[in-house]
Amino acid sequence: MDSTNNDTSAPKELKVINVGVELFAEELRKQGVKVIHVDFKPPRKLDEDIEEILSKII
Amino acid sequence: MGSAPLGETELASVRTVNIVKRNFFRDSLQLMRLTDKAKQTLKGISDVAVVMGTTTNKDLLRDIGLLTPEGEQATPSDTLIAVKLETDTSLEGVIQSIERLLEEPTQTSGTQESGVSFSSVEEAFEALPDANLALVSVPGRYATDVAFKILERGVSVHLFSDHVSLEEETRLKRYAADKGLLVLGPGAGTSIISGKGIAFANNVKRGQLGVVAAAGTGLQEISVLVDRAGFGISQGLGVGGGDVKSEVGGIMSKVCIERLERDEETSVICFVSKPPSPEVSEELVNFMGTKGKPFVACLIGGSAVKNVPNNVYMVETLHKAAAKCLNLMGDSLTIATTRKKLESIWTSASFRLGEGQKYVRGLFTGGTLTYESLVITSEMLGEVWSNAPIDATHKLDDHRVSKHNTLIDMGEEEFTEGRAHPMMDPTLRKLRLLEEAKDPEVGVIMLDFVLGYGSHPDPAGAMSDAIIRANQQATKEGRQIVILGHVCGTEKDPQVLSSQEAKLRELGVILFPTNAEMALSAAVIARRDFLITDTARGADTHEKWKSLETPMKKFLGGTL
Repeated sequence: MDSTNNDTSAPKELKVINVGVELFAEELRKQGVKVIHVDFKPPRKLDEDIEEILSKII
Repeated sequence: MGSAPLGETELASVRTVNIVKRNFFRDSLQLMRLTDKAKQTLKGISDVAVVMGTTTNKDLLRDIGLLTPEGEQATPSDTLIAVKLETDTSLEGVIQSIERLLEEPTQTSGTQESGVSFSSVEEAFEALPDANLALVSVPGRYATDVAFKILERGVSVHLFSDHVSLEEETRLKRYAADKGLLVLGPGAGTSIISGKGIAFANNVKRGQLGVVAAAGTGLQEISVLVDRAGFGISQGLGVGGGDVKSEVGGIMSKVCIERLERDEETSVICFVSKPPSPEVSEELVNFMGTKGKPFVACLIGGSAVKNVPNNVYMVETLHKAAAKCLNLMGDSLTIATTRKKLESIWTSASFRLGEGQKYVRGLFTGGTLTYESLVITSEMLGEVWSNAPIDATHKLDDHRVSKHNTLIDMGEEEFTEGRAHPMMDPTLRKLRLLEEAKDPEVGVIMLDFVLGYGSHPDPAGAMSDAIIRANQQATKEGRQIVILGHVCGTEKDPQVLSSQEAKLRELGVILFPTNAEMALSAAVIARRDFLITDTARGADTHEKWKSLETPMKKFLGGTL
């Protein structure tokens, strides 16, 4: 709830970074909360990348 | 489309086509919205679904005749497009339209400033350097890394993501506790922080009750009941169900209790969870005893705690927790139904059932609401089966098939793999309701409707056609089904409590203001022997009513 180690009280004004489901960012905005949304995409696995490269070559 | 595998199944007037987009990820909510949009805008199709290729989704497509052998090959990393085309519709045109929808930017609202999105946590912190909370809802296997990245910047995390191991959870929480931060979750569905609802939460008043919850819909139910009595919540902190397991040892529960103890706005503290590990129960209750404020501890279905401290009040249900909290704040749970009214409801409902209709079914969207109902109905009906049972011996062999008395938590993993939560997406519950209505031994069906931020914009409306069809199905076979409902919400929620309740009453659903009242009523109506006078055997009606004293006192308290 806080951005410093010393102050453990609840923040007066919430400022949120939303990572993942965008609906949650929209719902916070509806409540007047400042939100930055991170459009999460899973990192690709190396073997998938290699497979894709191979499929183009072979 | 490229080289995507394509499969078609020819029927008399329609063709079913599946296209698999390999390693193409969109989150389940985006796909749910996209499917709705495709249904509304595409011409020449009779059905369409765009989903991740999980087992749950393939099962659903198979059930509704939308899966082809090619679609069967899709994996959870693939996006599966399934369409039922009318005879003269061009496949290419339809697929191009869906592809366009898939590539559209995902923002659906907001100003230029608020609608902007970033592709990394680092960029987001550059744009909002004074962020004081992060809400993380990424697939479980990435959640720990993302959460650590945020904690390292000195910011607390509400971790909605599930499927994080207890070992990782402990690591995250120890790190956070050392830095004076919070990790709310993993698997935390709800928090209310400084008056704002995080993830699934209701619009409730601010007030003097602080809640720590290892039970998401437990926090929702209590906050709603307190709000409806005119009181409010100072902070509602969801710590996730794993926190009270012995591996994690209640790390975050203690941190949150400590914060609420110091919080000037909070005068009463409520702790709510599904059953903690016995040693964690003891430890947490003793910890509450070291504090000065009064505590209401609702460990639903938990084992008895020895030597309960004087400032701690132990209660069995969410209904009783709300009543006790209100009592400590100088009021009572006035919205509870009176005993007289309950008796009248039970009597008239039970007369609608035929002799063979002896079983209760429950289709829940809320995990804690399921659990509370299991505790109540198990005590009153004996064996109750579930996909998320109280004890492992009552776990259903197949979560897709009910037997005898069965309560289903539709928010469990087997129903949500690659799908939006049932509070947002009613599809699977609608289909299941129709299945339950076909069973001639079913008498009572319970449904919960959870309103608030994050939930479906019209949960009652979304279920209405399924409720109508379920009743029609039973009537056609000469039966009636008693459908009971509980709406967890407030007038200030986006869906508006009174409007949702009116829709359900119109459909003949019998509504209760608390989940515990609904569960107890389901058991009483299904059993009937509590109610029906047997004059032939000289049974005394009054004695039969009296036999309900114990469960009513235990689960609803002395509020009636």
